[in-house]
Amino acid sequence: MKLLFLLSLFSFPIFSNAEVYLDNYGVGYGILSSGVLTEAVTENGESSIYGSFSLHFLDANISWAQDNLNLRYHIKAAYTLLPRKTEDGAADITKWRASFLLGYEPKKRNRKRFILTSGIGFFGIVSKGRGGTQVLNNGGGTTTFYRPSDTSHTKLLMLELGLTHQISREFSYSVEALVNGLFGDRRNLNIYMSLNYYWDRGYKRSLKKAREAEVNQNIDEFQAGEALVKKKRKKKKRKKRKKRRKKKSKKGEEGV
Amino acid sequence: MFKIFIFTLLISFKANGFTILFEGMKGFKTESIKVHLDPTECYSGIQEDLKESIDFWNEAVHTNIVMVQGNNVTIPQTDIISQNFTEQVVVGCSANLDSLGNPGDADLLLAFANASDNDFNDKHLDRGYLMINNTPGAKADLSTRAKDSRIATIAHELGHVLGLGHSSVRGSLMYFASATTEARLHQDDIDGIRHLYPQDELGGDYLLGCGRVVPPSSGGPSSLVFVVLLLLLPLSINLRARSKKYFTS
Repeated sequence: MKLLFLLSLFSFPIFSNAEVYLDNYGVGYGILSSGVLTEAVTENGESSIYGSFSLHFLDANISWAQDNLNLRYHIKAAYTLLPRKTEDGAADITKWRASFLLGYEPKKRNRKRFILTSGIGFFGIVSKGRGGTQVLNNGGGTTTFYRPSDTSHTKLLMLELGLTHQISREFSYSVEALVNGLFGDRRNLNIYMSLNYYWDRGYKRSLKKAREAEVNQNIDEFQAGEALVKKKRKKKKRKKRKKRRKKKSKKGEEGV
Repeated sequence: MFKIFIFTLLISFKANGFTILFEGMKGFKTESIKVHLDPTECYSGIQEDLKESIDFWNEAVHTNIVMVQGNNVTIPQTDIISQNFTEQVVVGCSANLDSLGNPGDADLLLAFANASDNDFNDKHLDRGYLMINNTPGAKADLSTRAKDSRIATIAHELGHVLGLGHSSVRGSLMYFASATTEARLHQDDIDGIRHLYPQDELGGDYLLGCGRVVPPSSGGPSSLVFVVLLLLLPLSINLRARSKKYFTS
């Protein structure tokens, strides 16, 4: 079921007739808020509907665009730059995600445009125990408790819905809603916000296309011009021949 | 933007202070954990309190932990404390807590719990118990507390049964001096329970699972094929686009 869902997401471009081309690739810096709209207590001990924030995500994205349909196909990957950890912490926690998204871009009127994205992906949490012990109060005395020394991996499927706003040719910012535990009983909403930088926003391609079109247009014009000149020359020659014939016939008549 | 980037790099974060009961410990191996109640010396309403406390942990996100209430049992209190039973988890109550442990416990302990790896010595928990103080007249008689406090206490002790130790993070449910009157999961509690019981929705696959080596099921495509196909898909789209361009130019 999961396999079919994922494959179907990207299978239809193969069967479509429209041209698909590499549109864009770039990197981003983002923050993730987990557990939005739940009653979990954050690290500060406060209840927050905004969830608990993880900063310093580095993400990379690459997208393909399909002409005529205003569609884009994105692959995104993100990883925590700096794990959550402190001196007396029990574990280093890093998060990662990999997404396969379909983007729809309404016809742009100007350069600042919006892209709606939706798709599915994988979300992971790696909890690496730091080991060691901690002596803490327990009842009337103290007990030695242990910090985990192993690493545990949480892997989840997620559903994504997002909006990207292209601020300029190189920069955009995105807001995405990620729903974890898609096929389980415990769904969790995360919000991911990122600022992205692109190396090739499709500008180079469109520029190339425009240049090619210009060259083609020039060639066409040149050829059309040539044809016109040829036509004119032929017309001139015909006129000259007619004139000569007329002159010859007149001379012949006079001689007689 | 560069300045902001440097600034955020310097921010440090709060402690992840969760602990576990013993070194190298892992959680219960089974998919669901059955919790049996011996209601012999318990207060009325214990069933409902226990159910709410169980549901509390069952709602923790990113974990695969599932606790279910089993049948009521009758087990001597000394057997409960020495974990001399066959069930996975047993919850009992005592109307004379001092007789089970140290004198003065009835005025000090609302409840206590423990879990251990008894059967296979593979560091996985296989048994646990929870003993609730129902000693009449005692200062720490749980039945005299408000409902929220009772549920928070039972949920805290169930956390021990699941393998969590105390936490140094104030405000967490597993905080050692928990004065919690309302049961709420702190991020630290979620981190702890997720470490012991990580959810794996891709589980069972050789490549996409938890690193477990599980042979692919016969008759269907293996996950390796799926991953390779998925990675080749965007490449094939790109190649197709280029080839089309080549033939039409």
